[in-house]
Amino acid sequence: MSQSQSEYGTGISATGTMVDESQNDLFVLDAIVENAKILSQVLSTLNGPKVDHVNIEVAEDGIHFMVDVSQCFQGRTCITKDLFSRFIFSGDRCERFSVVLDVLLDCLNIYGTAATPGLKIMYKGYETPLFLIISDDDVITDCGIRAMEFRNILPIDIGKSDLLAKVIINSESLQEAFNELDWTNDSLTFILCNDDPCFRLISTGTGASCQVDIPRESEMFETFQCQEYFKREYKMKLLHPCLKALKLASKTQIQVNRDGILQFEHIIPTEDKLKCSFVNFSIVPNEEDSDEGGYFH
Amino acid sequence: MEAVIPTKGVKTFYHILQCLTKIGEHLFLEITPEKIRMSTLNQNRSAFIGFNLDPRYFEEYNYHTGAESLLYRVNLKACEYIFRSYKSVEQCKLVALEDDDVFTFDMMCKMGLKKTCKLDVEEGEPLQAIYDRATFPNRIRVRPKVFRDYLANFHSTLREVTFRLDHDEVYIRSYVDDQNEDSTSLSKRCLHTDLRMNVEEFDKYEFTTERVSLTFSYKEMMAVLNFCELQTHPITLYLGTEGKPLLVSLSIPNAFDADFVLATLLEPEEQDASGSTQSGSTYTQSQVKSEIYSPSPSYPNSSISSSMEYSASPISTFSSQTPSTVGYRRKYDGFHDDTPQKKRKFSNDSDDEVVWADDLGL
Repeated sequence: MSQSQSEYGTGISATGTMVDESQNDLFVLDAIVENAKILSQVLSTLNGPKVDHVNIEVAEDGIHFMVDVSQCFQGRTCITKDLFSRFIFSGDRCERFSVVLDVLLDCLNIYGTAATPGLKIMYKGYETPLFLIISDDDVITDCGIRAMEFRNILPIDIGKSDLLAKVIINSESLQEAFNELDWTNDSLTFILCNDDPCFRLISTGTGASCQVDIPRESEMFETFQCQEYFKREYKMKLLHPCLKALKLASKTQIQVNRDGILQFEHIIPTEDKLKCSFVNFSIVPNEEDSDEGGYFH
Repeated sequence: MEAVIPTKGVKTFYHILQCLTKIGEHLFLEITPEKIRMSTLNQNRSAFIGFNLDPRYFEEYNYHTGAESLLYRVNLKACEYIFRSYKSVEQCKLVALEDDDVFTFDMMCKMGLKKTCKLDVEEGEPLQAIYDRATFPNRIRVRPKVFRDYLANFHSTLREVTFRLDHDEVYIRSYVDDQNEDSTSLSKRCLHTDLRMNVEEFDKYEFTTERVSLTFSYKEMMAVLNFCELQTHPITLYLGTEGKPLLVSLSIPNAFDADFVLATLLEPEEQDASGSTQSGSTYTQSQVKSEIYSPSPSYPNSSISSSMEYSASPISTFSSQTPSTVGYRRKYDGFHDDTPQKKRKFSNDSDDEVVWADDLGL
C-alpha cells in the first residue's frame, strides 16, 4: 500500500498512465464535464493577486471552490451537479482539500483558452492527488495535481440581518461604470443612499479625481433597495478581481452590511445560456477614517 | 467659465486631446470670452500646436468672471485618459472657476451614468508661437488624406523626412542623419524612400521661391495629418525656406481653427574646427535659437543659448498678428537658471522630481 501511495503521490501508476480505468471503484469523485471552458472561465475569475490556494469541497450537490486573501477578500463559487454530464460522488458527507489555483487553471487551459475540451475529474480521497483527464479531439492529457490540506478559513459572512442595501444591476453597465475610474489609484469610496445620486463611486489619485454617479431611475438597475446612507472605502487592488467576472456575468447583485462588508454575486450563464453558475465575492472595507478631506463628500 | 460640448462635438474634442497628447506633455488653456485656446509644445520645442475653439463650437458658453482671461496648465495624459470612453459620452461640460485649482469635466453618459472628473491645474503662462501667415512664400492647399497617404509609404520608425519643393514638383524623401554615429538601425541606413507627388492632387499650389528642401519630424507630421484627416476639411500648408518653421493650418467655420507649427532642420554650413559631435549631433554648432517671447516681468530678458537637435530660426521674427499676443522668452543656459525669480513648484506626478517653471520653457 505504501508503495502505491507514493506512486499516487507523484500521480503516475505502475502502468505509466496517470490513472487506470480499472480503479474506478476506488474513486470518491468521478465527474465528466462536456466543456471544460465553463470551469476554467469561472475559476479564472477567482484568480487575483496574492491568491495562491483554492479550497475545494466536493459534496453531493457539486464542487465548491473558495479563495481567500488575508481574510480581506474572498471569492466563492459552486459548480453544481447539473453542470456536469456525469457526477458520481461516493464519499461521506464531503471531501475537502486544496490545490494551487494557478496550477489547476494551467491544466484546464492546456489546449489554450479558445479550445473547448472535454474534462474528466477523478479523486480518490484524502491524501491523494486530484486527477484530470482533458481531451481535445484525439489529444488526451493526463494531469495529476498535488492536493494539500484544506485550509480552515472563516468565511466573511455578510449576515442576512444586518443588510443595509441590496442592488441588482446589469453586469455590463456596472463594468462600464467601474471602467470610468482610474485603477492606478489606491482606494475607492462607495456610496449608496436613497436620494439621488443613489449610487456613487469616487476614486482619488495624484493630480486627478473621478466620480461616477448612477441615478435611481437608470435602466441599469433591476432592483435598488437602500435602508440607510452607506459610505465606505475599499482597496482598489481587492476590488479589481471582483470585476473581472463582470465580463462573463449577465447580472450582478451587490449587498452591503452595517460593518461595511461588500458582497458581489455574479450570475455567469453557460455558453448555451441554459444554465448558470454563481460567483460570489466578499470584500472587507478599509478602516474608517474621520478625515473627510478630498474633492467629494 | 462653463462650456457645454454637445454630443457631436465630443468625438472631435477627444481627437483634439489625442493630437495634443502625441506632441506635448502639458496642455495650456487660455480661456477668454471670445474663445478657448488649447495649446502645447513638445519637449524638443520643435513642434507647437494651438487650437482656438470658437464659442459656437459649444452648446452653451458662459464666461462670467471678472478676469480678462483664465490661464491653466494641465497634464495632457490625464485629460486623454478621462476622455478615453468618449463613445459613451452624450454631453460634456467643462467648468473652470476663478479661484479654484481644479478644472472639472462633467460628463453625461449612456443610461443616466454621470461622470465627474477634476484635474489639478497649475497657473499657466500663455503659450504662443509668433508668426505671420502673410510672410510665408509658398503655400499648398490640399486634402489631408493626400499627404497622409503619401507619407504612409515611409517606414514608421523614420525620424525625419524631407520635402523638396520645386515649381511643378514635390518630392518626399526619407532623411538620414549621416553624421549621427548612433544610427544603428539597419532600416535607417539601408532603406531610403523617395516619392514624387503629383502636384495636380493639390487643390492649390503656390510656389514663389527657388527650389527648397525642408526637413521635419515624420512622427509629428503624421500625428498632425491623422488628426486633420478625421476632420475631412482641406488644410493649408505654409512653407518657407530652409530652417524656417512650416505651418499647417486647418480652419472649420463655427467650430475651431488649428495651427500646427513644425520646426525644420537647418543644415550647418560647415563644421567648427573645435566642434565635436556631442552625442552624434552636429547641430550644436548652429547656435540657432528657437524663441517664443513673453514681455512678462517675471522672466527678464537675457541671452539664450541652447543646443537642440532641431534648429529652427527664431519664430519670433515674424510680427504677431494680434497686438496682444504674448509668448515666452526663457532664460536658459545649460538647463541652469540662477536668477532669482519667482519659481513655482509643479509636481503633478508623485514620482516626478521637482520641476521648476523655467525648465519647462514656459
